[in-house]
Amino acid sequence: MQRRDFLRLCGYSSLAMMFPGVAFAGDPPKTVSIDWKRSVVLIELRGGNDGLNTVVPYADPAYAKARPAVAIPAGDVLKLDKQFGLNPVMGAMLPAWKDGDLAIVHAVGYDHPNRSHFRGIDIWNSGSKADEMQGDGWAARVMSKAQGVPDDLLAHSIILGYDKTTAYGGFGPLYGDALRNIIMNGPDGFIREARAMKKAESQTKNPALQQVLKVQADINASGERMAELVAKAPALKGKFPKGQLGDFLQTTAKLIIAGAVVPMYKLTIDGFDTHSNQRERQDKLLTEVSEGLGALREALMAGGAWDRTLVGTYSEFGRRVSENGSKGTDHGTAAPHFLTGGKVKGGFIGAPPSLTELNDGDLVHTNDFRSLYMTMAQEWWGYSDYFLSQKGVKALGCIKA
Amino acid sequence: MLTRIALALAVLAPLSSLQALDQGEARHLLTRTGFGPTPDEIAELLPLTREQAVDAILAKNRTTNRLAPPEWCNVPLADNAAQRQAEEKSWKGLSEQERQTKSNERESRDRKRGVELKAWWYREMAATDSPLTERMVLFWHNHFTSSLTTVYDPRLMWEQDQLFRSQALGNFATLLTAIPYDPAMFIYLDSNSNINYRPNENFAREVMELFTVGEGFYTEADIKEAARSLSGYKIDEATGRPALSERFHDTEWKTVLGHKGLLDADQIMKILMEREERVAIHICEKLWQEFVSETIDAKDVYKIAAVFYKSKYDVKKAVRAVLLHPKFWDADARGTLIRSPVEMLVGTIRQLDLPVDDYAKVVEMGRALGEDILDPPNVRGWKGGSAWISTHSLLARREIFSAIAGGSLGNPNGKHRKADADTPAAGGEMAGEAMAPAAGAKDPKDKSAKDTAKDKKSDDKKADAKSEASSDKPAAGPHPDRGQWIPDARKQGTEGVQLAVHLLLPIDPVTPMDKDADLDRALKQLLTDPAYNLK
Repeated sequence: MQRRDFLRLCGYSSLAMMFPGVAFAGDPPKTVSIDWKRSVVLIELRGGNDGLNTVVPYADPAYAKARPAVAIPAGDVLKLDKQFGLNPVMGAMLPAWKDGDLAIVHAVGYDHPNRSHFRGIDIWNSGSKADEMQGDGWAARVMSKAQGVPDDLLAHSIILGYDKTTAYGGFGPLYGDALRNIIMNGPDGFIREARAMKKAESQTKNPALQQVLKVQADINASGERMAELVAKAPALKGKFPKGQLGDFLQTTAKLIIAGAVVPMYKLTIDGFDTHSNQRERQDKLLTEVSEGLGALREALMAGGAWDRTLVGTYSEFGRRVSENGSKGTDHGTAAPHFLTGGKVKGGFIGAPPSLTELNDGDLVHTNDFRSLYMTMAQEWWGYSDYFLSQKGVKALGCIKA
Repeated sequence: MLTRIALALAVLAPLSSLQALDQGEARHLLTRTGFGPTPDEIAELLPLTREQAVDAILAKNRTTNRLAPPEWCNVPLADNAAQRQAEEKSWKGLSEQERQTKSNERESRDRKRGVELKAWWYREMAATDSPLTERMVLFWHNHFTSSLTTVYDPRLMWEQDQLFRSQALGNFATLLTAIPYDPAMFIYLDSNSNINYRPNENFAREVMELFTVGEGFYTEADIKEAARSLSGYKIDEATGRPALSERFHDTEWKTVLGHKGLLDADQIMKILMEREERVAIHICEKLWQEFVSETIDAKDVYKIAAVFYKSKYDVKKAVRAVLLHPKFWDADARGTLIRSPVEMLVGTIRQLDLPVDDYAKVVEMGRALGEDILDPPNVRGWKGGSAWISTHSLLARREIFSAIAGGSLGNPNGKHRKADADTPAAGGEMAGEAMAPAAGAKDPKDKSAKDTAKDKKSDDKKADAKSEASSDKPAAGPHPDRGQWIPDARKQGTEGVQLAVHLLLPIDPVTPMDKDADLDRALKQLLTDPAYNLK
């Protein structure tokens, strides 16, 4: 923030120096904020989840035709309507669908899609256009501008699943300035590390040292706060699946129910790059996702926190319509994504993709991926500033008042 | 202008600028232009005035690397491109599964080589006699960003390193002119998919916004027209570099920043360089933040920018002007910048003369600390400065530097410095395999060092098992006794501890030193003191 401000200042002053006598007005002051009590739980399906075997267009003959070995037989599909059904392993998501708090956004993507894992997730994380690189993550851009940071903020985000592996890579949509992001595998590790950070004070006027000490004090405070929250969290309802995602969701549920002020939880489940033997591999992962989300919903409903939680999935790309020669699918483009929470208006959103009118063998998207972010930022958090380089992206209108 | 600035400096500068440096000033200059000063580096500067000291540091500049790179770096670009193409061609007849296997194999080979290259660079930084050169290579790497993750082929990142190295303190115009022909950049910013009937604006946008004039000094129309001008470059088989291919080039008239013509890459770079005032301000703002302060005073920067563009973009002149600026020498300025992870890691290795057995570990540490060299987070590079400090990074810094203090990279004891890391590459001809740090290959451990080590680590075993027989290498480097101060200080009790404090920290430690602490305990405390993050 600080850095951006003075960069802007100097930009203007050098302008002023080159064009003396011309006045350059700064941005008009504008107060924007978010509802800090509402959490987004963002789940990255890492590797590029195959949308067609997640939300299956079972009634379209083109589906089975394109995938002799990989297609899910129409009889197995958990039918949601006359066209679409869930992968048979996703039964744990049916209660949310039936109760009307699960939305499925059709064919999410963008123009000129990129099929590289790295570049693809970069575009998704920053909310940029395909031929543009934005420095910060979309959520970081929103949160670093949000005013009125509450005193009891535990963290701007808690990132589960990148601990000790990579620093910036793990931040994803939260990569940016001056945010309190906690990367951890579980609360115990974080509490231990925060306590190992010795308390240090100084009357210094050195701004760099002040900053280091301030962040250290934040860490000390977050460590203690986390310990208190975990201690008061009740036993959870809901049967969370075994595995890392289940553990992460359990931690998330505990903290949300205990009232932790954390606008975003970012979770990752890896392994969706199913070039071969897709059915077996993807089904296993989707079981975890579905059972995890089912349990999270149950736990949060019992804990009275489902109404202040919005869960969303994303992935760097979908996969090709036709299967490859290894009973798998290769990198593709658009895919459906889930939005669920106590305030979500359930049902399908947007037009389904055509399986026959393809672009170079790939689905053409019908929903802009950034509309998911507009939904989270604008509709859910009440953030009023526009934060995207692509003009005119609209929220999906699927959050109840 | 130059003389006017020189005069202004002479008038403004306190008398001390004409006197020999004191210890604190020498330390400040070295830490801001390098990694972490060693006692011998400080001693070298002590008899000199500010100007002499700055010139001495600039005079050490290198344009080539000192240590031999991994062997595969020596394959000519064109051969490398041909090899990769041949590989891909040979996959054509294979089944999908076999093709996938082949491509996975190549990816894992590239990944392994990527780590080798990163490890080599850390080793070079630790061994160099010109830390400023390395800082400038890092500076250009962070300015003209490309990343291994996107580029895939490490050979191309090596080529880019060589470009940055050759112009580290050289000429910005030369650097900028070469950038459209840099094969790594070509891939990183999608120039390979910029063709006449479907222009890709990525490179055109970044070359204006980030590399030259900066945001606000061009229009969207300029970008569109520049992208069309830059279309149709393809890798030329004869050189392995991008060259104009008429078939894919947009041959219509374009207008960029008011210049109309049948423009191509060379002309776009020329048009941008003609915006000399703006380009110079942009670069000098970054140099100011790199070396002096995060807070920019437009007047200060403008003076330096004038030196820069009047010298036709001589980087050395700009850096010299930055380093001789009175604000650089302000006593209150000491310790007001945040050190980057690389500066801390390499600084610690140099100052404590750590016998690093495997630089891949250092690569991993840098990555965990948020600075995975050759893999910047995005095209803007690392934000640097105060952005290095976050909840996550401070926890990571505490953990990693406690581990280093506990011996995770070897014990601080100069006597047992490993021999071969300091062996220079002979006269530009890089030595062969024995010197090339192949991935996984560990350097020999000094037995006696190990036996006396208090904090033996289990990975020593691994290192021994894989060690190569190269202990016959001569021990003579530029600083064979870089770590001698440690055993010396260890004998001196409280005074030795004070010496360590002044060497390792730019300001007083936040946590007061225990009066009875021995040197080894003091070092552990200093490496995790909040002030260790500062320069």
